[in-house]
Amino acid sequence: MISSMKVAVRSQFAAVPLWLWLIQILTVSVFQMSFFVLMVDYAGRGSVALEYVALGNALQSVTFVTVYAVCSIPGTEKHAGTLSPVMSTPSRLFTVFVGKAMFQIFAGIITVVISLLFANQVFGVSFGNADLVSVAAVILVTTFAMTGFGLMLGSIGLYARSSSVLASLVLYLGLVLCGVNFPVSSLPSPLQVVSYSLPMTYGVDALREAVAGAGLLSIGGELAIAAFIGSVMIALSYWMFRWFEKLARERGTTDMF
Amino acid sequence: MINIRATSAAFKQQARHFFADPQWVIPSLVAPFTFTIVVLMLFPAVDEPVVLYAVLGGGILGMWGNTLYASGWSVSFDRMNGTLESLLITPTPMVQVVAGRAVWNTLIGLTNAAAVFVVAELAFGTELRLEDPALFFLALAATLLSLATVGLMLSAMFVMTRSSTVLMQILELPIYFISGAMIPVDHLPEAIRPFSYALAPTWGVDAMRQAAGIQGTTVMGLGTGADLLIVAAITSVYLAIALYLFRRMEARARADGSLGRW
Repeated sequence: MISSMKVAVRSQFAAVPLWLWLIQILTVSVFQMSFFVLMVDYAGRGSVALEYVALGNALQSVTFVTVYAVCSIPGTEKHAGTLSPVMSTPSRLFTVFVGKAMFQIFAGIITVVISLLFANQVFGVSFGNADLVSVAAVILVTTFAMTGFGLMLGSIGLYARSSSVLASLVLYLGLVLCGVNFPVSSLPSPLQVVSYSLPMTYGVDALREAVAGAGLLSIGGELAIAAFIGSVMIALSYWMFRWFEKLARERGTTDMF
Repeated sequence: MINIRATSAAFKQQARHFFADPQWVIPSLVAPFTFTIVVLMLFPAVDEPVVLYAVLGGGILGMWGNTLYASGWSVSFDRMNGTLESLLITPTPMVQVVAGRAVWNTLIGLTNAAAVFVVAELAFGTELRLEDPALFFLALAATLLSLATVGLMLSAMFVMTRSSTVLMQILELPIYFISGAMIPVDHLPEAIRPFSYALAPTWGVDAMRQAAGIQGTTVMGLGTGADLLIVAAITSVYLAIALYLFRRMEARARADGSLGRW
């Protein structure tokens, strides 16, 4: 697992310089937040809505790194022609991919922290009353849970031609479903069921409360649900990796992309 | 001399590629679609002008997304498959081949725009009408052409770097932001507005909005005619840049043999 993480870091920065990678993750999160904050302003929703949207998008920015990037790992291995050799090693594919995903957890935390700083410095979102321990806990738990989600979706990429398409869907549908820009209660009831099955929904809610001053005990319930969903997704991804790996071996789809 | 046959062959080849594997339209469709839905949810009152405004903007973003990914990937895909060198040594300049692909990619972006339109109509139930349909479609065609030349420019740029995928992701959202497609240019921070004015789609979108009859401020207070002239002028500049970049790319590739490296 650790050597997979080292390989992931080395290959990440072999093709893309560190400065460009940083620009990439910052551009996506900062421009997305700016887009919706300015839209809220244009729509005349007021400063409360502005803070609501800024915080939601700051946390949602972790999805690009944890879900999209993790989900793209099998596709990248296929393009490079290394998936079959990796599958032939004694290590379980799940272990290898968890190692590769660990770097994305770290990147996800950096992304959210910088996004929150951006929200504070540029859009004036105040952290004066924030419980920073709660904020840190929200970031850690949500990043962990969303990485589990990314692993679960990424396992599909072993068998299917690509999991990147699925990752794109998840990346952007989260903007609609997870209470990032407007409350989940605004959605039709059937969609709310989907919303409440996603860890990000609990994460953004908990973050807003933490920024308003709520302590760990107050947001503990939401964090527990997000952590539980993330754990279930990681457990599911273990099983899915085994199943899709078996299918890919049987049907010879490891080089199909 | 333009080789129409080669350009149209590239157009058909890109079309066949698309129909062989249409799943790749999904990533460029999802972002503008969700952005449109979120924008509509953010407005306190969703009436016909708001829906038309959001749908137009979402459609343009869809066309941009498809141009960026499909055209940006076009030459990189050749490089990955080892066909780029073969393409380079044909008698037809590569830019003419890529132009055919760029036109298809931008056209198929219309499906994104149509999808956004249909879903918004179904979800929000308003009847959308265009004030001047002929002018609207002329502005749409001009915007499409400008996006195709942007795609051409990007294809050339992306061949020169190994970080093309990263650059595509970097470029997607800023254009949503500065193009004025969803957020009017005069509502953007002043420091960003010069970038908006330098983008041909900014003026194309403005012309389309005016032709559709959407009330509100226009970019620099200019009318549709002026907007279309500016689109034409900036598109010509983009085309000149694309031609230069392709010439440079070809010369460099022949000199240092870097074409196959990705």
